[in-house]
Amino acid sequence: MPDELDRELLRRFVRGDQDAFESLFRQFESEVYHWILRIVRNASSTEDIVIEAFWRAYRGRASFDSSRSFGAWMRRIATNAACDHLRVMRTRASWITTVDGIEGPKSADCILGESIALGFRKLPPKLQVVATLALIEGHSHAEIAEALDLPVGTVKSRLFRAIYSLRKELTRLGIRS
Amino acid sequence: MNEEHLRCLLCSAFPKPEGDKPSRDLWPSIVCRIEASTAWSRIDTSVAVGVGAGVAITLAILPKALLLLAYHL
Repeated sequence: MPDELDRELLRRFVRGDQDAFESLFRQFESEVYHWILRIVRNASSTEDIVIEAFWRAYRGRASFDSSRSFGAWMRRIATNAACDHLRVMRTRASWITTVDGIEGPKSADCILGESIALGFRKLPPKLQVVATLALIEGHSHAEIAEALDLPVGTVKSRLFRAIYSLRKELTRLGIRS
Repeated sequence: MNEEHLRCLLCSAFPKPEGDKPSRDLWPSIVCRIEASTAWSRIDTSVAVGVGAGVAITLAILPKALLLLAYHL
Protein backbone atom coordinates (compact mmCIF):
# COMPACT_ATOMS: atom_id res chain seq x y z
CA MET A 1 0.00 0.00 0.00
CA PRO A 2 1.36 3.44 -0.77
CA ASP A 3 2.62 5.03 2.43
CA GLU A 4 4.20 8.27 1.22
CA LEU A 5 0.92 10.14 1.18
CA ASP A 6 0.51 13.84 1.47
CA ARG A 7 0.68 14.48 5.21
CA GLU A 8 -1.69 17.38 4.77
CA LEU A 9 -4.28 15.01 3.27
CA LEU A 10 -3.99 12.77 6.32
CA ARG A 11 -4.24 15.74 8.70
CA ARG A 12 -7.38 16.89 6.87
CA PHE A 13 -8.82 13.38 7.20
CA VAL A 14 -8.15 13.38 10.95
CA ARG A 15 -9.98 16.73 11.21
CA GLY A 16 -13.02 15.12 9.50
CA ASP A 17 -12.67 16.54 5.98
CA GLN A 18 -14.86 14.29 3.79
CA ASP A 19 -13.09 15.28 0.56
CA ALA A 20 -9.79 14.11 2.05
CA PHE A 21 -11.48 10.91 3.19
CA GLU A 22 -12.88 10.28 -0.30
CA SER A 23 -9.43 10.82 -1.76
CA LEU A 24 -7.99 8.25 0.66
CA PHE A 25 -10.85 5.87 -0.10
CA ARG A 26 -10.17 6.09 -3.84
CA GLN A 27 -6.48 5.37 -3.26
CA PHE A 28 -6.94 2.43 -0.90
CA GLU A 29 -10.27 0.91 -1.96
CA SER A 30 -8.77 -1.68 -4.30
CA GLU A 31 -6.13 -2.88 -1.86
CA VAL A 32 -8.55 -3.06 1.05
CA TYR A 33 -11.05 -4.90 -1.18
CA HIS A 34 -8.49 -7.52 -2.21
CA TRP A 35 -7.21 -7.92 1.33
CA ILE A 36 -10.71 -8.60 2.68
CA LEU A 37 -11.58 -10.84 -0.28
CA ARG A 38 -8.55 -12.99 0.51
CA ILE A 39 -9.80 -13.45 4.07
CA VAL A 40 -13.56 -13.94 3.62
CA ARG A 41 -13.41 -15.40 0.07
CA ASN A 42 -16.82 -14.10 -0.97
CA ALA A 43 -17.18 -11.08 -3.29
CA SER A 44 -20.62 -9.88 -2.14
CA SER A 45 -19.74 -10.05 1.57
CA THR A 46 -16.46 -8.30 0.79
CA GLU A 47 -18.22 -5.19 -0.52
CA ASP A 48 -20.21 -4.84 2.71
CA ILE A 49 -17.07 -5.33 4.80
CA VAL A 50 -15.20 -2.69 2.78
CA ILE A 51 -17.99 -0.21 3.57
CA GLU A 52 -17.91 -1.21 7.24
CA ALA A 53 -14.10 -0.91 7.38
CA PHE A 54 -13.99 2.59 5.85
CA TRP A 55 -16.84 3.72 8.08
CA ARG A 56 -14.92 2.46 11.13
CA ALA A 57 -11.84 4.28 9.86
CA TYR A 58 -13.79 7.55 9.59
CA ARG A 59 -15.37 7.06 13.02
CA GLY A 60 -11.99 6.30 14.59
CA ARG A 61 -10.03 8.96 12.66
CA ALA A 62 -9.13 10.83 15.86
CA SER A 63 -7.00 7.87 16.96
CA PHE A 64 -4.98 7.87 13.72
CA ASP A 65 -1.48 9.28 13.93
CA SER A 66 -0.98 11.15 10.63
CA SER A 67 2.78 10.59 10.79
CA ARG A 68 2.26 6.83 10.46
CA SER A 69 1.18 4.56 7.59
CA PHE A 70 -2.47 4.94 6.64
CA GLY A 71 -2.28 1.69 4.68
CA ALA A 72 -1.16 -0.40 7.65
CA TRP A 73 -3.77 1.24 9.92
CA MET A 74 -6.50 0.64 7.34
CA ARG A 75 -5.46 -2.99 6.90
CA ARG A 76 -5.77 -3.62 10.64
CA ILE A 77 -9.27 -2.09 10.62
CA ALA A 78 -10.18 -4.19 7.56
CA THR A 79 -8.87 -7.35 9.24
CA ASN A 80 -10.96 -6.64 12.36
CA ALA A 81 -14.06 -6.02 10.24
CA ALA A 82 -13.41 -9.28 8.34
CA CYS A 83 -12.95 -11.11 11.66
CA ASP A 84 -16.33 -9.81 12.85
CA HIS A 85 -17.90 -11.14 9.65
CA LEU A 86 -16.21 -14.53 10.15
CA ARG A 87 -17.57 -14.56 13.71
CA VAL A 88 -21.12 -14.27 12.33
CA MET A 89 -20.42 -16.97 9.73
CA ARG A 90 -18.99 -19.18 12.47
CA THR A 91 -22.21 -18.88 14.46
CA ARG A 92 -24.17 -19.87 11.35
CA ALA A 93 -21.78 -22.78 10.69
CA SER A 94 -22.34 -24.05 14.23
CA TRP A 95 -26.07 -24.41 13.47
CA ILE A 96 -25.26 -26.80 10.62
CA THR A 97 -23.99 -30.14 11.84
CA THR A 98 -23.97 -32.08 8.58
CA VAL A 99 -23.78 -31.29 4.90
CA ASP A 100 -27.10 -32.50 3.53
CA GLY A 101 -27.99 -32.84 -0.09
CA ILE A 102 -31.02 -30.57 0.13
CA GLU A 103 -30.27 -29.04 -3.28
CA GLY A 104 -30.27 -32.43 -5.00
CA PRO A 105 -27.61 -35.08 -5.39
CA LYS A 106 -23.99 -33.90 -5.15
CA SER A 107 -20.72 -35.48 -6.13
CA ALA A 108 -18.42 -36.93 -3.46
CA ASP A 109 -15.85 -34.17 -4.17
CA CYS A 110 -18.50 -31.50 -3.73
CA ILE A 111 -19.63 -32.93 -0.39
CA LEU A 112 -16.00 -33.25 0.73
CA GLY A 113 -15.32 -29.60 -0.20
CA GLU A 114 -18.42 -28.38 1.65
CA SER A 115 -17.53 -30.46 4.71
CA ILE A 116 -14.01 -29.00 4.78
CA ALA A 117 -15.38 -25.46 4.36
CA LEU A 118 -17.88 -26.11 7.17
CA GLY A 119 -15.16 -27.42 9.47
CA PHE A 120 -12.94 -24.45 8.64
CA ARG A 121 -15.71 -21.92 9.32
CA LYS A 122 -16.12 -23.38 12.81
CA LEU A 123 -12.61 -22.26 13.77
CA PRO A 124 -12.31 -19.07 15.85
CA PRO A 125 -12.01 -16.08 13.43
CA LYS A 126 -8.48 -15.17 14.57
CA LEU A 127 -7.33 -18.67 13.69
CA GLN A 128 -9.27 -18.64 10.40
CA VAL A 129 -7.52 -15.44 9.28
CA VAL A 130 -4.03 -16.79 9.97
CA ALA A 131 -4.85 -20.20 8.48
CA THR A 132 -6.34 -18.62 5.34
CA LEU A 133 -3.33 -16.41 4.75
CA ALA A 134 -0.81 -19.18 5.51
CA LEU A 135 -2.40 -22.34 4.12
CA ILE A 136 -4.61 -21.07 1.30
CA GLU A 137 -2.86 -17.87 0.21
CA GLY A 138 0.63 -19.21 0.92
CA HIS A 139 1.99 -16.17 2.78
CA SER A 140 5.03 -16.61 5.03
CA HIS A 141 4.80 -16.25 8.81
CA ALA A 142 6.73 -12.99 8.62
CA GLU A 143 4.39 -11.52 6.00
CA ILE A 144 1.33 -12.44 8.06
CA ALA A 145 2.89 -11.05 11.22
CA GLU A 146 3.56 -7.73 9.49
CA ALA A 147 0.09 -7.56 7.94
CA LEU A 148 -1.74 -8.34 11.18
CA ASP A 149 0.65 -6.37 13.40
CA LEU A 150 1.41 -9.47 15.47
CA PRO A 151 4.65 -11.08 16.64
CA VAL A 152 5.80 -13.99 14.44
CA GLY A 153 5.52 -16.30 17.48
CA THR A 154 1.81 -15.47 17.82
CA VAL A 155 1.24 -16.22 14.13
CA LYS A 156 3.00 -19.60 14.50
CA SER A 157 1.01 -20.49 17.59
CA ARG A 158 -2.31 -19.49 15.98
CA LEU A 159 -1.45 -21.53 12.89
CA PHE A 160 -0.56 -24.53 15.02
CA ARG A 161 -3.86 -24.25 16.92
CA ALA A 162 -5.78 -23.82 13.65
CA ILE A 163 -4.25 -26.95 12.12
CA TYR A 164 -4.84 -28.95 15.29
CA SER A 165 -8.48 -27.83 15.57
CA LEU A 166 -9.13 -28.36 11.87
CA ARG A 167 -7.72 -31.90 11.94
CA LYS A 168 -9.94 -32.64 14.93
CA GLU A 169 -13.01 -31.16 13.25
CA LEU A 170 -12.37 -32.98 9.95
CA THR A 171 -11.91 -36.26 11.79
CA ARG A 172 -15.19 -35.61 13.59
CA LEU A 173 -16.85 -35.02 10.21
CA GLY A 174 -15.45 -38.35 9.03
CA ILE A 175 -12.76 -36.94 6.70
CA ARG A 176 -9.47 -38.83 6.93
CA SER A 177 -6.40 -38.85 4.75
CA MET B 1 -3.20 -35.93 7.72
CA ASN B 2 -0.08 -33.79 7.23
CA GLU B 3 0.05 -30.04 6.68
CA GLU B 4 0.54 -30.35 2.93
CA HIS B 5 -2.51 -32.58 2.57
CA LEU B 6 -4.54 -30.17 4.68
CA ARG B 7 -3.34 -27.29 2.48
CA CYS B 8 -4.53 -29.16 -0.65
CA LEU B 9 -7.92 -29.89 0.90
CA LEU B 10 -8.38 -26.25 1.90
CA CYS B 11 -7.33 -24.95 -1.50
CA SER B 12 -9.88 -27.21 -3.17
CA ALA B 13 -12.59 -26.21 -0.68
CA PHE B 14 -11.81 -22.48 -1.03
CA PRO B 15 -10.98 -21.79 -4.68
CA LYS B 16 -9.67 -18.36 -5.64
CA PRO B 17 -12.66 -16.04 -5.23
CA GLU B 18 -13.96 -14.27 -8.30
CA GLY B 19 -14.28 -10.49 -8.38
CA ASP B 20 -11.34 -8.36 -9.34
CA LYS B 21 -13.00 -5.19 -8.12
CA PRO B 22 -16.27 -4.17 -6.43
CA SER B 23 -19.35 -4.51 -8.64
CA ARG B 24 -20.42 -0.94 -7.81
CA ASP B 25 -19.09 2.34 -6.48
CA LEU B 26 -18.97 1.87 -2.70
CA TRP B 27 -18.37 5.53 -1.83
CA PRO B 28 -22.09 6.56 -1.79
CA SER B 29 -22.83 3.75 0.70
CA ILE B 30 -20.00 4.96 2.94
CA VAL B 31 -21.33 8.54 2.83
CA CYS B 32 -24.84 7.28 3.73
CA ARG B 33 -23.37 5.33 6.63
CA ILE B 34 -21.49 8.39 7.91
CA GLU B 35 -24.53 10.64 7.59
CA ALA B 36 -26.78 8.11 9.32
CA SER B 37 -24.39 7.86 12.24
CA THR B 38 -23.98 11.61 12.68
CA ALA B 39 -27.61 12.64 12.20
CA TRP B 40 -29.96 12.83 15.16
CA SER B 41 -32.53 10.06 14.93
CA ARG B 42 -36.20 10.60 15.83
CA ILE B 43 -35.62 8.60 19.01
CA ASP B 44 -32.70 10.87 20.01
CA THR B 45 -34.89 13.93 19.44
CA SER B 46 -37.84 12.45 21.36
CA VAL B 47 -35.63 11.54 24.33
CA ALA B 48 -34.06 15.02 24.39
CA VAL B 49 -37.48 16.73 24.19
CA GLY B 50 -38.88 14.38 26.88
CA VAL B 51 -36.02 15.03 29.31
CA GLY B 52 -36.17 18.80 28.70
CA ALA B 53 -39.94 18.87 29.23
CA GLY B 54 -39.62 16.74 32.39
CA VAL B 55 -37.03 19.10 33.88
CA ALA B 56 -39.13 22.20 32.97
CA ILE B 57 -42.32 20.76 34.50
CA THR B 58 -40.47 19.66 37.65
CA LEU B 59 -38.99 23.13 38.06
CA ALA B 60 -42.40 24.78 37.46
CA ILE B 61 -44.05 22.62 40.15
CA LEU B 62 -41.13 22.50 42.57
CA PRO B 63 -38.89 25.58 42.09
CA LYS B 64 -36.68 24.43 44.94
CA ALA B 65 -35.74 21.40 42.83
CA LEU B 66 -33.45 23.85 41.00
CA LEU B 67 -31.11 23.71 44.01
CA LEU B 68 -31.10 19.92 43.86
CA LEU B 69 -30.48 20.02 40.11
CA ALA B 70 -27.68 22.57 40.54
CA TYR B 71 -26.12 20.38 43.25
CA HIS B 72 -26.07 17.34 40.93
CA LEU B 73 -24.72 19.33 38.01
